[in-house]
Amino acid sequence: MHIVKQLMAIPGVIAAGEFAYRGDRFSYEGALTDEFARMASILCRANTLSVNMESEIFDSFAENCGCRPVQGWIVHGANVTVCAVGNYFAFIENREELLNDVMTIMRAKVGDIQDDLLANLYARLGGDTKEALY
Amino acid sequence: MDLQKMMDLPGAMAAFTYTDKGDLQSHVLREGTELTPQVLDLLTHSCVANLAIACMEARGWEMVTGQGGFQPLKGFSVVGLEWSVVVSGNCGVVVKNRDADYEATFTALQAA
Amino acid sequence: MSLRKILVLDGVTAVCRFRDDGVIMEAEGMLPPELMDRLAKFAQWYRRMVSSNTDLLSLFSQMRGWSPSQGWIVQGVGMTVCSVGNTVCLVDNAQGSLNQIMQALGEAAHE
Repeated sequence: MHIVKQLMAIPGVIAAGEFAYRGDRFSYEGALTDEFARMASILCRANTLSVNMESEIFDSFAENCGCRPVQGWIVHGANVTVCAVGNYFAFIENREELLNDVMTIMRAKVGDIQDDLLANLYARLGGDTKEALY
Repeated sequence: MDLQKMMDLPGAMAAFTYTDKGDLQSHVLREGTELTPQVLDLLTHSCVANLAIACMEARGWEMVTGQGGFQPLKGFSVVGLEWSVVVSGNCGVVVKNRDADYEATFTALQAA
Repeated sequence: MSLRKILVLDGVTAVCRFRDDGVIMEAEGMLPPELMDRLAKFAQWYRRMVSSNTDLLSLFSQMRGWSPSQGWIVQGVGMTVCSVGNTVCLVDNAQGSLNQIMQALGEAAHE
């Protein structure tokens, strides 16, 4: 079963989807409008870039310390949590055991993210990873 | 903040506190870990940055969409290949992914 | 603009132009190759991060003028790192004029 469909089948998952590197391509299911999903895509890209940068810096000072390649991140809000693994994201309610379940499913379905961030972020939705951004 | 108690969390490799600016204040390391105080200090600075960015995102999202539920932020986590760092407020824990219990870790950090 | 024209500006100790994958295209200045590599990689990541931040600011503020981002400056107590586009340089604060350097970087980046 596709990861997004599997996540959406779980009570408490508000929305789930995929995002691409520039935030310009995305797909989603759940309680988001197209515009909100686009915004979520841009947010996810920003956080993913940040944590990847930080892990590269750590790695340059403490090689093989286990943080690279970064797999994802979690923003734990008051009642809602956003989690991202690879180029998949999910908005979930803060229900008991839900975060652990969602993270387990996402990590298992996405698999280990390898080192090439751009290739990974484009992998599912297509795009030229060699294309210059500027 | 009882860092030793934090080390009882599943998979805990290090527990630490930091200032608002990100300077490492106190820490406990599991014996045998490759983590050092210097690496933890880098980590705490990035945690402060990530929390600040996440706070900005939460604020902006609620402002633009009208959807609530994100603020006040309770924490942030970076999921690495083998370990994750989980932070809330001014304290955090590094946990091994295979044993990680994100919920319990967030709960314990907020209760401390 | 050759990077030498930036290197001769007061305060600039090293300058480099990097590709989008962090590989150095050209470099000038008294920085060991390993440190120049680190500088380029750091600048490339920082550029992406800043671009993300300006995208977010645009999104939330609905203001024009944030995106696309042009560059960034990190000012230390004695040294500053500044970048425009795909060019980055190290500046000695005591001797450099940031305004002049950022302008020169901007011209170099648009070539």
